[in-house]
Amino acid sequence: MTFRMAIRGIGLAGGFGSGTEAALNALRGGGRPNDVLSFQTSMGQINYPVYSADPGPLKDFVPARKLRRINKYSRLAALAACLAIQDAGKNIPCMCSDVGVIVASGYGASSTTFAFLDDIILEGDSFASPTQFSNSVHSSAASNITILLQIKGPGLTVTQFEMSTIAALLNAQVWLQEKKVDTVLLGGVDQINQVLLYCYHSFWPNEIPNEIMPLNYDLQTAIPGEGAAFMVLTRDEGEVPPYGYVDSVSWRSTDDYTVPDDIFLISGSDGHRACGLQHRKLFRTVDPARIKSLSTIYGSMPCGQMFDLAMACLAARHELLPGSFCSIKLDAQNNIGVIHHS
Amino acid sequence: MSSVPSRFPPVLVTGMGCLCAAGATVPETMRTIYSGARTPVVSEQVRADHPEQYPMFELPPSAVPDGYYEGPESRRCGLLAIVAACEATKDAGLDMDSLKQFRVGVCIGTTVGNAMNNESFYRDFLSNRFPEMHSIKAYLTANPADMVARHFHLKGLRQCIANACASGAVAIGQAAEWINNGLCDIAIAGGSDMLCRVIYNGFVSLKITDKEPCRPFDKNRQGLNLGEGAGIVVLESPRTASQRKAQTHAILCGYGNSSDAYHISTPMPEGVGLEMAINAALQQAGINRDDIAFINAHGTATPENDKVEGTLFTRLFPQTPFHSTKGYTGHTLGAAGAIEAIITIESLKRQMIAASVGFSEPDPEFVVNPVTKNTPVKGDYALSDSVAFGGNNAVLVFQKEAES
Repeated sequence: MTFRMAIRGIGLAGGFGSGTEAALNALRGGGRPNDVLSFQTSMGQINYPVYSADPGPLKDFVPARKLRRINKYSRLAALAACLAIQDAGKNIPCMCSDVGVIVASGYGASSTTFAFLDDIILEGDSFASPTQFSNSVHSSAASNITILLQIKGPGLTVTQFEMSTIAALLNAQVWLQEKKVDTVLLGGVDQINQVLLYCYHSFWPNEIPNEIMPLNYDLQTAIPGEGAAFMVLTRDEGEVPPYGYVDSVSWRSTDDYTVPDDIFLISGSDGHRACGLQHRKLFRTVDPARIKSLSTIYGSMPCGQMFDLAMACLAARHELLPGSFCSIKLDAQNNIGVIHHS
Repeated sequence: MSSVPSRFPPVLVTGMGCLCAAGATVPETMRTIYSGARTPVVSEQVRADHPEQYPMFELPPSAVPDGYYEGPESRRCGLLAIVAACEATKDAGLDMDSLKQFRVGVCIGTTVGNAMNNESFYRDFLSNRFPEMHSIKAYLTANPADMVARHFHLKGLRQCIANACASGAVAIGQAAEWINNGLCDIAIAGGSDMLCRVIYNGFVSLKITDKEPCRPFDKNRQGLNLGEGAGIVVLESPRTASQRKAQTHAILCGYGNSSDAYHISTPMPEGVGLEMAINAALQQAGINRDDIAFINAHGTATPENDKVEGTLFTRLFPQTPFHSTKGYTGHTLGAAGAIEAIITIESLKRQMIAASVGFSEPDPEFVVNPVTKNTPVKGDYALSDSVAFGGNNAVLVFQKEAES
């Protein structure tokens, strides 16, 4: 869909820290896993590298008493949302109905679901926690953002694994184009946990990477990451926005898509070998100097394209990357999410 | 700068499919609810060790075709969506070949279908029994929107909506917006959800389930009965429908979506958020409250939910007949908004709404009451509202297709 959205603010929280300064430092210095999580397998204890995010700075925006019952998934999303609004120069809370909230997530609040199951399994069905349950739904991040920031406009949570960001952006374009709202607070959030790591290890038992090598398509080097990336989006109404424009967003199939040959490419490749063949095929005619992956900064996660977009916008503003670029994300079903930015 | 939303260009509903405890098809479901029959049961599949067992509106394993049923913790949610989508596309006069001629989007709401909540896998993980990846592989292919798209060999845009109990209505509304903004010609949209122990234990822990068949809007209501099922509609632009000479069940002419910004599991008592969604939907439809012939309420039968709706209807719709159909279907969560949209359309076509089963004693806290018998209605517009966890409200307004 071709409809220009102005990017007014960016909020980032991930393994690199939180805020644009931390993200810029990582963009300049390169990213790497910042933590190790342990879990048991039939082969004994495994220590797995991860990109772990700290939602602690949220207390700078929201009183601690309001955060007591809010899970990490929602805190990460709320932190990035607050940072994006602050970056856009809008006061918090927004307290208005002409702001819409759209959240994209691949795994949702699965850590909270597991915490809910812990109570049932370890204590019995009667000990199920109503707080854990009501926070375990995917939409808890969007709901908590609207509650903490007093946003009364429409809310939407989209979960489509790697295509979650593209779907979310398409909905934002629709809302802005038809003037359903004036501003969309849009972001992606995902969270890691030991079950996820156990699954990584079970799928690829002999390949515990030390670093993501996103453009080496033959190796399985994905390292799970967590965090949230948010943006404040508006219609293009004259004033030049600090982070440029999302010009077009499209959902394509590998069957009928050819990468553009005149623009810098941000590849969503994040070390998953299963997508390597498709990536190789897609980029076969592209000069490697024209492709960059940013996943080494934030890790591997379904909503990674939201990080790609936000970080590339930030990098472009600070002349670390070209101002015009195309973000491309593949999923395992031969779908491609394509975002053109200028 | 303030938004002035465009009038909602009409989107046509050209096909409908649903399965729930009230019936395996749309005609069966309507026959059941007009008959007043309902069959909540204490499930054999979904049990827990609470002192009380709470009845649910459960589908039999045979609800999905032979070979489809994979057990309670599987891809069943997506399979239910496929069954309803097959009915809806057939009803719309579409098959796999004809669908290829159009840009088709898929938009499905759910609460369970996208959640990694496989209890047996997690039990094994927790006790170091090192589970295999079978159920994880199933989860990774269980997204209901993907499953429907794969079933119909569709390669276009799709999304799974996770707006809790408003998901089905939001999915229909968002899909209509796709059509209005040129993202697709036809959309297969709706909601699907299934019963499981996580959901059952969760609602019991919230103390909002009734050990008796639920009683929406009744003074003595104790809570909801869970249900499962799927509701799917085929939406298309008037141009596409005209091009292929499709029938029209109704016109979707308004969609409102708002946030309470109040509480993670309790609706805002004054119903301000729901009122905003109602006003947005009416404004998009270009009609007044008086134009609404009837309302299919969310009507879960929880004390708080029904109080919000009852209070709001008293103020906004004092003369408008309304009913809750959750007494026939149970609360099907992410499917509810879609199943109720279909019941709303069928009721609008027939100009007759079913008795609000379970209601007998008026609640003195609000003046209006749901209809207690099958009631004729007169008018061209009907409204269906959904109220979800986290304060998400969604409202759909349908217009009766003019008789030719």
